[in-house]
Amino acid sequence: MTTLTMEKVTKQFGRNVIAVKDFDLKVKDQEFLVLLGPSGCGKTTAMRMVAGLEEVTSGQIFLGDRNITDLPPRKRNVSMIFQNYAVWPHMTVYENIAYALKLKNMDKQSIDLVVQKTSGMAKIDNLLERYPSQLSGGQQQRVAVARAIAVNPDIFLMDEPLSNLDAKLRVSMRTELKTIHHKAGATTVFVTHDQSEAMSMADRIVIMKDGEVVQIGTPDDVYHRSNSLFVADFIGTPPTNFLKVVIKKDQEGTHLKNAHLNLLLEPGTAKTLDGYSKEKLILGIRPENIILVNEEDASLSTSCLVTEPQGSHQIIAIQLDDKIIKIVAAADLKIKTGEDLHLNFKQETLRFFDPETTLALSD
Amino acid sequence: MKKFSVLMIIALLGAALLTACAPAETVTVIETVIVEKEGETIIETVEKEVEVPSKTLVLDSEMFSPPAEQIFFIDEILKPFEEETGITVTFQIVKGEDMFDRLTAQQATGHVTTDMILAFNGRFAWYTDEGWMGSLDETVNTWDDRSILPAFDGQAVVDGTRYFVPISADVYLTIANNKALDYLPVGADMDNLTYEQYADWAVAIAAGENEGKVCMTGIPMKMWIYQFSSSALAYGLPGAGNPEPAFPNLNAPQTVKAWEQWAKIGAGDGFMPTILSVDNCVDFLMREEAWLSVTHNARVGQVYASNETQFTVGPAPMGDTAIGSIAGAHGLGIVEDSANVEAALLLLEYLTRPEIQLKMNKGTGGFLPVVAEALDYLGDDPTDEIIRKALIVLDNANGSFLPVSDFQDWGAVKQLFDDVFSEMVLNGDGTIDQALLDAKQVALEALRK
Amino acid sequence: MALAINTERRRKIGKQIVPYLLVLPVLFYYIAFWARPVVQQLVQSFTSLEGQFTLNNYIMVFTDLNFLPALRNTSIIVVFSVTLEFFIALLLALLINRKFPGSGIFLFLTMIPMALPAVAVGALWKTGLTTNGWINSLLTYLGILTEGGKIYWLAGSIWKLLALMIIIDAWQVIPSIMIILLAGLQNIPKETEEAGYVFGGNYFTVLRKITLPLLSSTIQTAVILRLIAAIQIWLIVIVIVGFSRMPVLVERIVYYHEEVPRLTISPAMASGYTIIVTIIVSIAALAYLWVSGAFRRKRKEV
Repeated sequence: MTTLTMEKVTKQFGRNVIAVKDFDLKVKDQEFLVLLGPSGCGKTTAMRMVAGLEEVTSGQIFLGDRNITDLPPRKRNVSMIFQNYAVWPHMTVYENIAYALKLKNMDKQSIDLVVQKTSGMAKIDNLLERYPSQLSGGQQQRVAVARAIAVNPDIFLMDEPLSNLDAKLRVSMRTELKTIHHKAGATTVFVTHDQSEAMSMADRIVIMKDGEVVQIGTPDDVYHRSNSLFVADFIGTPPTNFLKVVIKKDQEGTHLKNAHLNLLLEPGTAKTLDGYSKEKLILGIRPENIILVNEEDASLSTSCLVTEPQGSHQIIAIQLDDKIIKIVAAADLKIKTGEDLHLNFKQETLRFFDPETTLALSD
Repeated sequence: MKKFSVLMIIALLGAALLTACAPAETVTVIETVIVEKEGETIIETVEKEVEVPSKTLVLDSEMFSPPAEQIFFIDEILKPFEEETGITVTFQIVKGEDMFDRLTAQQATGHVTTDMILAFNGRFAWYTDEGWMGSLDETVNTWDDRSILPAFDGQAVVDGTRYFVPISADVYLTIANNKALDYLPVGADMDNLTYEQYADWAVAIAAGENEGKVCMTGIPMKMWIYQFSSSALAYGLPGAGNPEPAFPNLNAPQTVKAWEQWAKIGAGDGFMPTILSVDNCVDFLMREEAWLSVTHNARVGQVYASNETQFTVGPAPMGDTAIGSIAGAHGLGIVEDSANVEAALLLLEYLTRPEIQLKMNKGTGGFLPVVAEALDYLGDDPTDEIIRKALIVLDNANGSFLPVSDFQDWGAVKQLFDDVFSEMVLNGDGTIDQALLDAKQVALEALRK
Repeated sequence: MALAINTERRRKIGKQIVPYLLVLPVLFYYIAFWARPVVQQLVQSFTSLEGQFTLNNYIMVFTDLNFLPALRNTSIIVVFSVTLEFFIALLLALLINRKFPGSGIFLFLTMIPMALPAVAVGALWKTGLTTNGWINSLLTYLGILTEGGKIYWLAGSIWKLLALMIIIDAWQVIPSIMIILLAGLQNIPKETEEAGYVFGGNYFTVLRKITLPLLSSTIQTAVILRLIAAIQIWLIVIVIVGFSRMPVLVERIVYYHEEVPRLTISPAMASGYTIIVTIIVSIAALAYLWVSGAFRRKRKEV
């Protein structure tokens, strides 16, 4: 196992399409790194360049201190799990796992050992003589996993490996993949467009948009300290609520105001705005950070549009002009549609975004 | 499902009814009529039934099958006739065997749709033997402005009754590329060439050019039998219809003399190297891959007309007796049970007019008119030249028609000659393999009906 | 109650009968226009001119001087042309499947021969191969032949002509095989091959261990369909050398049926050769159905 370094990696298709632009990344040894972004953001292309399935237009890729930029896939010692499994239908499970080992001229006995071990890890050791067409989707994915582990690669590449599975299986496979990752101690790059998958699995998440990295950080970082409107909106279910406000300063302190809202910032929070000279601002607040308060403590008063019970909690939706704001509240709170609500915010969790640059004002 | 099947049945029945009830004599014509309405002119499309007289004539022909000849015959010959008479002629090219089969079927079912046939003289007997053709005497005897050359009466007239009128004849001519003239043996003359000189000439060309230049049809069952037999006739082989040996023959002394000349060419590598893939000498002569050939006058005409300054034409060569040539003709006959005999007779009269005869035979590449008076119209363009040379052959040659109907299958007869060519002439050492010839002659006799 | 069972059963029978009813019109068509002539042909092949049962027709065919050469020539053409065609077609399909810039135009160009009828192909090659034809002109133009130098393509031994025939046939047929193979290649998910590369394969190992095995049913289809067509080759042969000089099986049928139809032996020879070709083609077709798994389904169901 080793580190992966990508330096200013760019991929251009044809004359006009830039899929990945100046991509810089360092993946630590044994790290589980997730590339996250909407479809078409370049995350898969970035991974395929690591695998050697796409040529790099410019930039360098290193595995450890090995420059693999121009090596063919077979010389990189990477392994990959594909979205559609890509197990070979004309080979048995055993043959699928053994393919790479045979190509390495491993002797039959060692191959047997490796296949036994890896198929045990992937829980398919009882299916070795079957053909893929006789397996379920989940089982096929396990074959792909076993095949990937068997080669003992420097790095695992997983290209949306769970997205073809049904919802329940997907969640349980997350746990298994993480377990396997820990057991194998493998440096892993995992591509997905599903933010909850990314949050639940990643040591660090790389969020990409239009071929460029937007933010790199731990799940905590990207959730609580989103560095841009894009990240704040992309991460979290429901996503961050955004309110357009103007800054008003008077003797009381700094107010954020709009037609519905009059929020007096605490001095500590207001400090964040020091050095921000524009009048307009976008306020970002996570749904669980909006709290129900008494009328006199409210920064915002409105009525409940609908409630969406979730069992463990409920989501309350309110409408401000044409915007829906969502609030996560305790499940036992009894709130009816149309009921008056008085709201305030946990000030320390507020995020401020410059409407022009869409970037966060604080780190 | 049910509805669908019902619909299907209705559709099928409808189609059957339509076919059955199709009007025989009237045709629906879409006419554009200009109607005046309150000062405005409106063009209306009106569908109405118009009585169209059934003056159509079906002519099946085994002649004029090359597209160029076909187009000329239809556009330049038949069209004026149709305009003159209002008769529509449906002209179809049919292979000889197919034409016979077609008529057989029509006679068997009593549903005669072919009114007139243009057949090869060697096959006249197929039709006259069956008694399907009508006598043409009544019409032909009234003609005083034209006289039909008697060369083909042997086949066209049976027991004093004429069933066919030949309208086009063909013989064999010699054509040489002018480049070949440098090698012409001393004392030889294209208009009085002998086969010995021809063979020497061919060998001399091959030696000088390092490549054989004589063309014949090496692909089996094309024209070699005629090209060769013209030479056998020149060495005195009697024409078909005479007591044996007569054409077609492979091993008679006269024939052997002819084989000797061809074998001399073969041993001297005088034939084009790719001779076995040649099915028609025209292209090869035009492309100058071949310089020398004794071949059919229409083919010669085609080559000569393409560039008359490049080629010289003469009659077919002589053997030790005379010029020899296969002479063939194509003739018109009228099916006796035809419903359109009158229209057919009009076409017969038209096609035998001297000026039409010349126009038709010239236009289709230099066939020979069979009406003597047509020759009065000869001018001096390249095709006229061909026709003149061909006439020399027709007048002087020891000729033969093709007794196609004496044999089970003429193609099989042709093949025997092709076999001898590839075995003895092309790949032989210049000597005569009498045993081979005798064996082939036995095979030939076995093919007789 | 009894009535209910009755209608239930009737409905079941009705349901089972529907597929048979649906194929019935086709069956009629087959019986009228296919089975009947085939049976007639078969009967005729065992019937003497006098209408008696005889094996004589087959004896005549088997003792025909041209039979063994026809069988030999056909076999040579089938073996060599199918092999040649398969490998070149596979090569082209693999090339085009890589979707390099211009591969679309390349695909179009390679498809042209397929659009030409066999007669046109024959004519095209024949005018090309003749001594002053365009192939020699081209070679002279390219400087491969010296000025005035000639290659006599159409002259020479039967082996040389056979080789020519195979090349011409291949030229015409390769596109159709290629298109079948290309369709098969495009059906293989890209990732299965990519996985092959990632897990240690180079181009040839992936081709041998993954692409070709996955393509095998397509290959079988293409090769056997082609095999059947190659057995029936004749037109190109007679365009180049005419009848009888280089006999092949179907050419013999056409020869007796079209060229010398009036020989007394012709109907017997034609029907004898026809049945022999039919048997050979049927064996090839059965082999095709066998390897393509048409007979296997039943076993699986049981």
